[in-house]
Amino acid sequence: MNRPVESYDGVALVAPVSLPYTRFSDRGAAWFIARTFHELLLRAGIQKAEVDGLAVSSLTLAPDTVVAMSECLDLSPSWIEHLPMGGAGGVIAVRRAARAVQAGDAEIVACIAGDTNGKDGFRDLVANFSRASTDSVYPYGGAGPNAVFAMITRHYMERFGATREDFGRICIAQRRNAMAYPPALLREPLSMEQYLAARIIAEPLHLYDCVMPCAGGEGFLVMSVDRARSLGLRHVRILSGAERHNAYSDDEVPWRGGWALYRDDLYAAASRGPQDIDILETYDDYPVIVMMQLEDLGFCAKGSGPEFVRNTELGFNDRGLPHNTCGGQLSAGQAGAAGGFLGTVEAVRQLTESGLPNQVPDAETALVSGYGMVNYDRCVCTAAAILARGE
Amino acid sequence: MTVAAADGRLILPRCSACGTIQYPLQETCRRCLGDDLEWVEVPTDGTLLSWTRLRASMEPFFREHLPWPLGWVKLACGPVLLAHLADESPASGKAVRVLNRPDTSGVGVLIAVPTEAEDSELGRIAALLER
Repeated sequence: MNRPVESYDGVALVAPVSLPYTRFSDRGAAWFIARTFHELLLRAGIQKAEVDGLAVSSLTLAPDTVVAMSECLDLSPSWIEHLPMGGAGGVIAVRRAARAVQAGDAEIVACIAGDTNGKDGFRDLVANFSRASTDSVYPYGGAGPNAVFAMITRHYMERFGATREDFGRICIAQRRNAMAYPPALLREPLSMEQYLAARIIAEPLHLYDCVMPCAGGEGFLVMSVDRARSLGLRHVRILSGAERHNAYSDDEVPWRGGWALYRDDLYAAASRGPQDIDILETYDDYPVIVMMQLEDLGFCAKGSGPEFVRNTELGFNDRGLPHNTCGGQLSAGQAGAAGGFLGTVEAVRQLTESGLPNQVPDAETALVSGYGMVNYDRCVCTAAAILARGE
Repeated sequence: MTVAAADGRLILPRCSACGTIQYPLQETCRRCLGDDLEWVEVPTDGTLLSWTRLRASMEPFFREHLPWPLGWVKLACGPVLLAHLADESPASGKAVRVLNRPDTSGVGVLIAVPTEAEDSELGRIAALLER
């Protein structure tokens, strides 16, 4: 892109909220979204009527959208957005809501992702995820994204020499982070032996390579820095943001993602480099995609992901690169579209709260990355943002 | 594709304007946006890009017949498609053919077989699908 991008100066992210996850729930997605919204109001100390912007991301809310939620919450917003970008939803919500605040279209935007998980809900969700997958993927094995990403993983391993142990290092480091994040659903220690010996899901993916679907909600508020200060709220600034969808569509099997196309501009706009990132939150639907983000976001060269994870500590209090500091979806659980907000909310929490059990010491700058929506044979959406602690 | 399944031919939409073969099925050309697509028989040869063997499935049929092999195939005529894999020793890069065969309910399904395999030797996966 050649034209200059407007900065995000003056915009604040506040009030990170993670609604507790449960493995299964009889409640609808609207319950999780509404309760997350309720919690946002409490955290920020504001009244419902002060919220004039609403962005919602949800897979199980269908056929309802942010439109139905406006009535359900009895809000009358002047700006609404529905975000069907899955794992890229959190970063995209930041970008959309920030521009609404800058343009004066809304003063306080609630960004919320929430999903339920009924007993047969996941099967129904996967079988009807997109027309392309309903017609041309699901009938082949009924395994949903596990089949697709098993083959992406195999291709990556064959192309770059990654081993199962390399992916295991990512999963194990995230599990250690989750052990310091009480809301995570998976908090038992995970050793390399356990990781390698776990049951096969779809070769070469084993149990701990796959997220556990659950129900839950994640949210945050977007407003001006002035408003955040007047409310007495600690805030996070947006240094830069970018997104790209359906990138590298000519790659027969995906081995890179859209982040590689905008990462140089992302860092330049933020006046930062990978070495300045204190916290990295990647979208971890599968460890191979984490590895691609490490490469495509500039932490190592393409194909050097395996070497990078062998040589870099990824724990929240290690001296390397604190990564997926609350355990990521692989240990916290994937509450549908809320999984796409998990990294954003965790980054805002790390940069606005103190005394967290999984606190990253002296963190000033975070990079959040998203990847979402398997339409056919890969996720289509990517996004990333660099965030900084606000004064 | 369902129509052609009875005789096994692989029939896919081709854009009349630019010749691009479309898969997954859609009503406009993904390359030139043309909407004049005609069903044509395409060559069945391709290359296995990657593969897996499922050890879990959400569908009872496949759950009962695990492990279930699948493969991504790059057809020589262009598209990449997902197929059941009738190959007990798959390897990325292997030359395969894609057959369009009816399953037990008559719907055409794609089965990738090693190029050198005889149609009569398609093995466990093909037999299960046709039973």
